[in-house]
Amino acid sequence: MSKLFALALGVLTAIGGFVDIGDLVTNAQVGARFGLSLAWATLLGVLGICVFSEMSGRIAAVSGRATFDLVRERLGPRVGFLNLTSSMLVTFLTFIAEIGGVALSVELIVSVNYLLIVPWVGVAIWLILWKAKFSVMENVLGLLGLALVVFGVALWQLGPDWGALIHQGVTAHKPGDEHLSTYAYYAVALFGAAMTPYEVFFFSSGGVEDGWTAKDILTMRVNVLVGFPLGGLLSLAIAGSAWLVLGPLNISVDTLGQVGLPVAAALGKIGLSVALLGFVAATLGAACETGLSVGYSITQYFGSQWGKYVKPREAVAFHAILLLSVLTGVAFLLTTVDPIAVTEMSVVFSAVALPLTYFPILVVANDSDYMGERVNGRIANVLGSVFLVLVVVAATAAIPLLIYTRMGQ
Amino acid sequence: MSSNSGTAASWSRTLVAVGVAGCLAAILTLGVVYVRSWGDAPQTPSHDAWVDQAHTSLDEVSSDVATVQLLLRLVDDGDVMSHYQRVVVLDSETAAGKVADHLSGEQPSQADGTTYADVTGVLSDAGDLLSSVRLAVIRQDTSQYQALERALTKMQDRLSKAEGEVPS
Repeated sequence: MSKLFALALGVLTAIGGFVDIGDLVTNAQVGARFGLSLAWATLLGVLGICVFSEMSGRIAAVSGRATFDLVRERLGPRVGFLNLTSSMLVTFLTFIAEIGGVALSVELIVSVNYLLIVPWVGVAIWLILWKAKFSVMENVLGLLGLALVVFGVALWQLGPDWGALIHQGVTAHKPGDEHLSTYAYYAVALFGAAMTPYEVFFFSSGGVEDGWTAKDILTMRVNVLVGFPLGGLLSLAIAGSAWLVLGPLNISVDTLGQVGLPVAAALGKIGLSVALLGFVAATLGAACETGLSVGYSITQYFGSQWGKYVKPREAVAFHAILLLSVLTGVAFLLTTVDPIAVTEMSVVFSAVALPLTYFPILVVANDSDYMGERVNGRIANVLGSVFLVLVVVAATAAIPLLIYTRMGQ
Repeated sequence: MSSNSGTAASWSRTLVAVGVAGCLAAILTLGVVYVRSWGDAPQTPSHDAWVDQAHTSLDEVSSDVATVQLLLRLVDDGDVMSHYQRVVVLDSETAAGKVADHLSGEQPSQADGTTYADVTGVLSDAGDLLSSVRLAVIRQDTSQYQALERALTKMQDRLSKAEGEVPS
């Protein structure tokens, strides 16, 4: 019974923790302009993150060590450093976006300028990272993030022509007034938003924090293969409801407030309140995950003690980096840089960093010295290789598309 | 002795790790300050670039006006909390103001002078209207909402007309 409970809890937190500020904004932006015609990019990203999260989770469960720990050892310090800098910069950018996302979410509740909220968000995140138990942080915020299911309910309540909506998703039919380059840009952005590098670092390091062993591989696989796809459905619900409410009015989504309007249109104040709870929980959860991922990646590379499962005095570098990251993230936002613009940049640069993040995982997961009999099978290798090609294509196209379309305008 | 050297190595790793994190943070912060300093220089776009910007600006402000229209409709139905209303309307007003300021700060070619006056004029009027909506929403002056909704609809028409008159 307790095993079943743990399984259900894991799946639910995986669903609730799947959506972050990048998913919220990008899916609403894309939904309002393209409807579900780019659903394939989200689904592809979700499949990709399932493939690589399963590998990194398996690595953690079998070796008892997290990804970066092994990347440097297996591929040497130079490749490891390249992997570290690219992934870490993107993760840090995502961390800043998530802090901004929490502040913007709270701003919608209290109508106080988000810049006044940012420092308090920084304090709250630091306290959670310093004091809260890993499992409590993961489960509470993950479960509260389930409030975003309200987008699915809103979509249902809006009573769309399901046949037309599904047809649009299946045929990937681009609206006639949109350019192909913009369509491609948003495809890369959605792919990057779904496959954000921090997710694998957090997943694999979290596995070590939770003390996974080979016995936990089944639970881990259920979390990944059930929880993440259901989380992906939330992304599609955000896009679908934006298409139905914002699309006909030609509203382009540039603020978090606009993301919630379809829920208000469908479910009124109660629905909007639940959506706001979901915004706060999803962004706060992701802020904690990205903040931890920055600390994990640097300390694992340099071989320092890391993790919330050890006392802070035994992991000085880890906690110093967490504090420094929070302070820098807050300072960055206080320059009045637009958090939504940071979010848009972070999802595109995620796409750029993908090959450097995922190639080493594929290499380590194929190394029988680390993995023993749990080394990648044929299916995992085929899927891993296919996605490696896809992430290289997305990474190559991301910057030219960003410049050519002027960030999707 | 070995314990001392182990501690020293551990501290040295700690210092290097924190140092690398600090350097990356400094690079990012300098990067954002540098990027934010762009835009201070006056822009003199070509005819094509200006026309392109005019279309984009009209689209963006039209989106802001549509957002506020939708918001007022939802407020009429009692679907949005007052704090949320304020933030959405203020965000739309701020965004429209930025777009209008940016476009009016450009130096168009002489041939685009008339279009420049028309486009910046309608963008400025849209900004003023959104300010009026913001005043009414924050004062919770519901008696003005219907008139404002009508004004927003008219403004949408003006924006569409202005976009149609900008050469493509």
